[in-house]
Amino acid sequence: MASAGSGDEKAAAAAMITLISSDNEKFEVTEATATLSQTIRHMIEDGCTDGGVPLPNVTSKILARVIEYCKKHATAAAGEEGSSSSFSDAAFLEVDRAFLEELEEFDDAFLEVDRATLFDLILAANYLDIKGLLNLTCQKVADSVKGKTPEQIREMYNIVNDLTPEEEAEIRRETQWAFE
Amino acid sequence: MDTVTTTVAVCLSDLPSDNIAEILTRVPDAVSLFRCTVVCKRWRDIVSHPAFLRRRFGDLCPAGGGVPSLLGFFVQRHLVSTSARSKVLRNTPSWAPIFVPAPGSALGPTRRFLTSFVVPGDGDDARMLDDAKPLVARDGLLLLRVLPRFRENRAVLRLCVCDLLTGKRDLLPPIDDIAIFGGDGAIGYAVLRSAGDARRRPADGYSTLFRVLIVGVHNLDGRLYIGEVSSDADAPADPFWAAIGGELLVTNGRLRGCRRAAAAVGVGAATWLFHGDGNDNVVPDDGHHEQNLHAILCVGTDTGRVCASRLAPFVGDCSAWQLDVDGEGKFSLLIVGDRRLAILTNKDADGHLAWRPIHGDGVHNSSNGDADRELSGMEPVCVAEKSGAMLVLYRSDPDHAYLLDIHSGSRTMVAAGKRSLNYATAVPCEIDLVQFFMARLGVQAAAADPKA
Repeated sequence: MASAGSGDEKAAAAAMITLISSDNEKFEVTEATATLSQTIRHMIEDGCTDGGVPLPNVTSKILARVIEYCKKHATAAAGEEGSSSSFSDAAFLEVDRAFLEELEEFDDAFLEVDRATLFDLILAANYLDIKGLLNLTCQKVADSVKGKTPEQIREMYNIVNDLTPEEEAEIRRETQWAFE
Repeated sequence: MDTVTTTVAVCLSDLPSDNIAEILTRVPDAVSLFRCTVVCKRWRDIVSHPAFLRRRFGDLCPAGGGVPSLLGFFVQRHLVSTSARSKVLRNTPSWAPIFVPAPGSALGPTRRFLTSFVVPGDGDDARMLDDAKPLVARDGLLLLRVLPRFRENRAVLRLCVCDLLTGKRDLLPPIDDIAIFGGDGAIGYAVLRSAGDARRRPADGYSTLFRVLIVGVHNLDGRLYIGEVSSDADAPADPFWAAIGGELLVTNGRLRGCRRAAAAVGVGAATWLFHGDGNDNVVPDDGHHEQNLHAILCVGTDTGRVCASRLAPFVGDCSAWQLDVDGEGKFSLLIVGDRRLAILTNKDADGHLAWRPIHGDGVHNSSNGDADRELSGMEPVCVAEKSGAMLVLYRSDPDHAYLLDIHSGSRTMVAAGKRSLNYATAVPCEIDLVQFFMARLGVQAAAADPKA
């Protein structure tokens, strides 16, 4: 990361990492992009990324989406670092705000996926330890639960109700006010 | 990482519990989260785990200390005539006090009846909470005065303790408070949750371990009286009543009453502020006419020690609220008076009091136009002790209640006006949400999942 803003473009360009998906597809990404994943960051720090990083839990389809997310947000992180030294400058703040809005739009568009993809993204974000992506995807599911009845939630996500009628009645009695 | 065994999740149930917890911890409000506990066993077990709840409500409970958050207020309706009442009865399922959520309450913006939190009993007790008057709340316990039963002495004091955490309610034995306190009866109350341990349990007929303190000033001798009722099986069955020593009998005047019925309860002590009338003919050394006598009654809730002290006279007419009491009996008083808002603290052991202004220069004065408008005609109703929010009414606008943050001075309207609610009766409800969820779900969680 330190090389990103130093002007040593060659060093930054040279630091490429190869990620290998479960179906053996290879993805070349910059170190700045890859290190949004804490899992990969630790691998880089341990010096065990030569010959590529195998990610047996992530398919190429999902990995491509994850990399898309990381690229966008790595640029954002670099941008924040760059502007922090002159944060009092109104012009910079204006640029920052525009960029944050753009990032929000990107995130919204990024979440326009089917349920199965969303769950796979959660799995990948958890496995790769990418905080921002995990937050984004989990929040999407959490928001969809808001204001719904238990029946609606079960139907929406194909969840089998394995509570006994007695157990369910007991909880409903204790939390009566939540169902009014 | 080891928990990831599948590479493809087709539905939500395929996700490992860690990920489900990540999702559920982001469910925006407590009501939706409660509903999630009924979806399936796994969701219930995840939500009812203490670590999950501590994490979820961590921002409300900083440092994991379980600091309660202000959820709202219990408010009584305005009294209406029997005929008017029968007209609206059709639309009113209950006459129990109403829970009005505070702005941003974790329980969402919906008003509810107290009976949604506390299930009333059967038979005679089914409508016990009808027209009950909320008196004071603390530690998830709400003390109410309930109407006497049919054919009971109308003057008798009937108190009910509602445990908002468990949804249980306990009725105290009737108290003939006029006989004890004289004509004015009981004027101050405190309710405390007793720390439960293996050796202590509620006496027969009680479901919760609590103590209720009741104080009054006798109208004939001007003496302070205090009583205590405890639900502890080891406590004496009858309430004890005691007159407090004569040191409060001020030479040039007499105490009349209590500024607020609710006590300020800190670690180990409960305090009330009393006021009284002075004697105009006597001019004290400092030249002030003592028209407003104020005294603090402080009861050590662990030690049983009772102390009382007189306060230096306040300038002008003012109304006060105790903010906090620490273990050594030091207290802070929030004073709301004629265009003034300040905190009075007793700084040293000698009982010297010092004004500590709040809001920068603190004591609002006429040079500050906005503050002037905000404080003019303001009637404080109650203070949420932990969150430092004060519910206030304005004489010019009696149908609306406002929440004033006493530290920042910011003001928010509690809810759109509803004329039938008598905000002057409001009692703040601060609950530790972790405890709340645990109490409501904990039993089943412990039974189903030995880890929890």
